[in-house]
Amino acid sequence: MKILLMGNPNVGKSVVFSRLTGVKVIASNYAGTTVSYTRGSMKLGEEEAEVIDVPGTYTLEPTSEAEEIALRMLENGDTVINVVDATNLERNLYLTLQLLERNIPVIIALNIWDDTKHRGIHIDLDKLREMLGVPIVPTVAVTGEGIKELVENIPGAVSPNQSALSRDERWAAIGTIIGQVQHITHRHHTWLEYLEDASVKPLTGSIMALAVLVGVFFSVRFIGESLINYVLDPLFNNLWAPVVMKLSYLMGGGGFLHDIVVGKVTGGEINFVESFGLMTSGLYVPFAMVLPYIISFYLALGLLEDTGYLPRLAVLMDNIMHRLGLHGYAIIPTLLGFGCNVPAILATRILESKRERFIAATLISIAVPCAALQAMIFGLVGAQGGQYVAIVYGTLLVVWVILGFILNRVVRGFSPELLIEIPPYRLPPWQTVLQKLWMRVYGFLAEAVPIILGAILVINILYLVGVFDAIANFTAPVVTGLLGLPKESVTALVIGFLRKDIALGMLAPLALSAKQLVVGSVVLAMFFPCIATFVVFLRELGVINMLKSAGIMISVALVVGGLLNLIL
Amino acid sequence: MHWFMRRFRHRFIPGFKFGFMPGFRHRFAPSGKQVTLTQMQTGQRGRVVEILGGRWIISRLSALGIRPGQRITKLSAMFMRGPVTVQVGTARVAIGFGMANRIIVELD
Repeated sequence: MKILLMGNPNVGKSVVFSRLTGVKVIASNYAGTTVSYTRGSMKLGEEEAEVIDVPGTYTLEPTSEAEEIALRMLENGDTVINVVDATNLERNLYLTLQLLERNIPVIIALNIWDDTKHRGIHIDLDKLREMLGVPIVPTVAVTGEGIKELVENIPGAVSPNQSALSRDERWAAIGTIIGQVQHITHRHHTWLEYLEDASVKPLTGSIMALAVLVGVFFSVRFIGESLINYVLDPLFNNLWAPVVMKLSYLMGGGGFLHDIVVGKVTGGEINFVESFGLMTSGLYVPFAMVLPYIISFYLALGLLEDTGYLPRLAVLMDNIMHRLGLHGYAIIPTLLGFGCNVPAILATRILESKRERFIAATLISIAVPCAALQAMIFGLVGAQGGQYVAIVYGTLLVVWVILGFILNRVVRGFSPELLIEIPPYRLPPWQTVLQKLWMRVYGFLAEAVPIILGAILVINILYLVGVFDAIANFTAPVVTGLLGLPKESVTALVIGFLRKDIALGMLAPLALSAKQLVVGSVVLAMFFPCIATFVVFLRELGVINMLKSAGIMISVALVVGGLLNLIL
Repeated sequence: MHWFMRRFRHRFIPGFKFGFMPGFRHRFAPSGKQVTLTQMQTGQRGRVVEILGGRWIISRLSALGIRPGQRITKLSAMFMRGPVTVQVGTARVAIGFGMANRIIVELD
């Protein structure tokens, strides 16, 4: 049996899904968090049922890629759990009526039920059941209230087989239902609602946005740096270093195997960044340099997502984004890109047109460095002085704006206008914030650490075989002549295809000047996406768009790198 | 022929682009109590009268609860032709300037 979870965007389908199946998925407080479907399974009596978390859709007439996916899923489902936002009943019922016209059993989960009480919304459940002719269960998915009743009632789902109506007839029917079922009592604004209004007004909104972004930046740095300085560095230096020294001694202090496992040891001291062994840099880079920033960044991002601030930022940024051929909502994939470009390129599905998706995905791959790369930029470039980090970020920002401006002029097609729902502010429970953080941190550890270790192995072997020397000599005119980097640094660009954090780490032993580090970081960030991003880009936008985008990336990286080399 | 003209008239009439539709401006200059959403003042209330646009725009707006007959309150407008935020029913919706320009509201 296939159970589909369907409903408007941002009604909590993903939270209901987690409750039903125990599968943890990312849920946030903005429309379009789920852009592809997730499967899970649940016990229904004796039977095993497949549950599918379908992206949110307002109607069954699709207007974006995510909604088209939803429609295709409906064709081969057995039962629909229609998740409805009880605080927004009128609008949600439109999809419900369309579902009731289909020949598929429906059960309604009236979610966010707890909010109706303090918003002064009264809903007559019995009457609503009678008028719609399907079972209705009030739920509060975040706390789990009503989920048990929902499961018990799934076998009772029915299809009332209503005749198909036109759009106006449907709205008329909804008007009748709402008139009889719902009544709203007036009540005063809460402080959260005053804040909601202030955050989309031009003046107060801009001030708030600036405060939020500055606050996020400094808290990410503060938490990340504190974790490094007070927890992870002491752990590695005091506990792990003696173990590795012992290992180095046991392995004879040199030789092929020693260099792969421990790396280079100079003067009886281990430099965890530069030694490039599996047990040294292979662990230090992911755990002590990148992980702290992954934790602090995703903590901040999770809070922004769950409170419902991001759509408001989209409203404020709409004007600027229009100049880049996008609309305000594109700021959400862009912000996700500062964590990892892979989910960011997936999230461009919330944009309506192909042109917007191409521009957004290209801009993200070029000018938005992921958290892992940023952590290394802070670690390596930051050691030379804060102003150099500022140059790297400033350059990427300028490239983002100018390239977007050009793409807006050049790329054919149309970019529609912003039209989004602004969710109410919600104070997320700490458990959900921490759970989401853990999912993302775990995802990083599970995916990044094996690739980093593999990359180090490959790097060491390629060095020994002499492949890197051949590449370095071959590309020397471009790398040395144009970018002003030592010819060996081309190896970092090659390894950047695997992972950019370890690639930037490869520049550390080359003793570069601050200027060279800046050029290296910028070129590495823009030159080409890492393999994971590359695959997603290819799958989402096709070969031709990928080739176009790759051409843009390489040429822009070389031009900007060359210019930086001349100016600095 | 009508649909054809509608679809392609921006090719025939020079300077005819979205947002600068002489026909619309002529018909919906602020007359009495009818204004576009962009002309409305922040805090004003009214009732949606008409949406000037193709099927796609009408269908997307109505999915978000903005359709003729609905009560609407303007909450804010960003400067320099930025999006307009409105309250319809219990929901808040942000609408790009060009689209908001095509929503005709009768003020209370």
